[in-house]
Amino acid sequence: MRIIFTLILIFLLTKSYSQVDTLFQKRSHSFGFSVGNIQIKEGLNLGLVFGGTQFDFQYGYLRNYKKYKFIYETAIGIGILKSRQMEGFNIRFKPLDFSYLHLVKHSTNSQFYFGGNILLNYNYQLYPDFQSGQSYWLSQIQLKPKIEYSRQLRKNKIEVQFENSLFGFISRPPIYRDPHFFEINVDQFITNANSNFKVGSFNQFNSTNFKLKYVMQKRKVNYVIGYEFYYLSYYQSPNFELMSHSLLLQIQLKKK
Amino acid sequence: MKNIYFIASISIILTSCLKETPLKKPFSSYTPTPMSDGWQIKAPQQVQIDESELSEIYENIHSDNDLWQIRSLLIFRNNSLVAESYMKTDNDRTEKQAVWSCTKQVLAELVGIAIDKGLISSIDDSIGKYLSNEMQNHADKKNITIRNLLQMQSGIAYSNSGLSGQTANIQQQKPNDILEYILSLPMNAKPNEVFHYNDGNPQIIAAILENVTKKDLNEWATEEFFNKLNIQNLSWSKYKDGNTFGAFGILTTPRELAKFSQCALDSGKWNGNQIINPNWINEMKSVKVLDATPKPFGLFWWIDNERQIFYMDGHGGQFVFANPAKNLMVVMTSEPNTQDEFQLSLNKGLEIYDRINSISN
Repeated sequence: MRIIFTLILIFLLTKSYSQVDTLFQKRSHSFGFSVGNIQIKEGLNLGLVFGGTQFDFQYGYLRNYKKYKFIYETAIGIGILKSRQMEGFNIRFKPLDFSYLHLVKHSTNSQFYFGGNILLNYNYQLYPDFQSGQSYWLSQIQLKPKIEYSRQLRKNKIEVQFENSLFGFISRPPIYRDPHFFEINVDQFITNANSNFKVGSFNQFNSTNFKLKYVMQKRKVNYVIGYEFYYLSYYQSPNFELMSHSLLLQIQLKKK
Repeated sequence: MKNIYFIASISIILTSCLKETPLKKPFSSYTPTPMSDGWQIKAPQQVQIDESELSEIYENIHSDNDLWQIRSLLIFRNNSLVAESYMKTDNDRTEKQAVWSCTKQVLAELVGIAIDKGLISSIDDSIGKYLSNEMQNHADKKNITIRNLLQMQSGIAYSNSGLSGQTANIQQQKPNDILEYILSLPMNAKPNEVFHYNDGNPQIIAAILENVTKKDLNEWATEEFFNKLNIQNLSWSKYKDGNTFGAFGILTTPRELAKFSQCALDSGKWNGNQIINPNWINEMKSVKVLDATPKPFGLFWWIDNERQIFYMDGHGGQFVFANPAKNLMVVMTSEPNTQDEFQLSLNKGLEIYDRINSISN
């Protein structure tokens, strides 16, 4: 899959383009999904890396107003993981991903935005073959700076987005739990994932998010194909690492 | 040029991945660490165990990727600790871990103590004698005896397996009253007819012990047994209704776990002090159900006739193998929560035991 990504990028970047006015897009709703490779290294799993495929469904709302851009995104999905033939699952729910961006530099065919992002995201894991009915999670509330660069290519557009954590709250399982009890009920999911948030910054965690999108612009609809890289590392005990490479496919329905 | 840099950067990102940490640390030494836990320490040559071959066994265990689950391997002979090594972290020497069904073997020893104290008259008594209130609505179980429970022949249709089994329901804390939940199950055989290993029978034993002692089981066990074994590092989990788990629930260290088997190996003694009646110990570790699976079964204790050993067995690969003829004990603990084929199997545990037994003259 990574080779396919690279080949697509090489093709797009070597294509010649001419200056074309961007079709001004005030509002749009986007629907799409992402599929990709995910790896999780849970500190309570002895250093095992569980890896596999993550499927997410996404919805987004974009509002342009003068030099400002407001973006709301939400996503839900599931990952099927394995390590040494043992199965694992990652349930992802992102109820809030809100960005406020300000146009800081532009030319006829390019735009550069800078702003901030607030994120609420849950990653909840089960490893039934390795940890029986114990559950694991990393929940995050983050405030992050965000940059977005877009460049027009004839009638289409390339967008690059980059975010990195600055400050936030992280919830993780306690180091010790009584192993004789399972935590696989829905109410336990909700309680656990929202428990024991600890405030921190670079001393506790770091997350990096990079997106590269190719936007095929039509009159009423944009079609988006893209790549997303996400890396999260939590350094406190129990530590946690997550890395994903995803292919994004979206439809943006434009409204005036 | 800029495009090339961009493509190169993307390619680097695309090929990045997380690196697994080694599951076991390299072998360094099996020399036991002195602790004030009551264990004497002796060198292998003092107890006729070949040192160089012992080193080779430990090297193999540490480096064998097929044995990734193993956390500790300890060897005892002639009432002394001879070798110990912890494959993942030395913290396992002192940090408690679930030993799961090894709790059943401890429970059997506690029954022996209760009999000695006159709290239980005979294991051939019906359970109704000791659970009169609890049995009022369960006439179908009135003929079950304590012996039936200890031999896993109660006939109660209790299942350890799968998410729909009774153990999984208990672990999800679905029933409000654990004993009532078990006694309400149907019978799928008459008592004393069919061997069916399950977690329900020991839970009834635990309830009987709490009734006859009129104490919390862990509290009574600590007074009458654990303190006498100089056990300092053990806890015993309870269900939400306050009842102590009977089938599992003990969390302890490998060195503490070994003491329960050492007591059985030494005819009920610890450091020369008689704690359990030796007649009970003999009963406990003699074959009562020859065709039990996977091995013959005594009173909650397993017996391997071929190897002439008896042993403790807990989920995930928690084993204590005891050889009375050689006064040899091998303890191994493993990842406690693994399931199915990912556990350290009994066969693999016995292979390790066989290697150690073969170098013990």
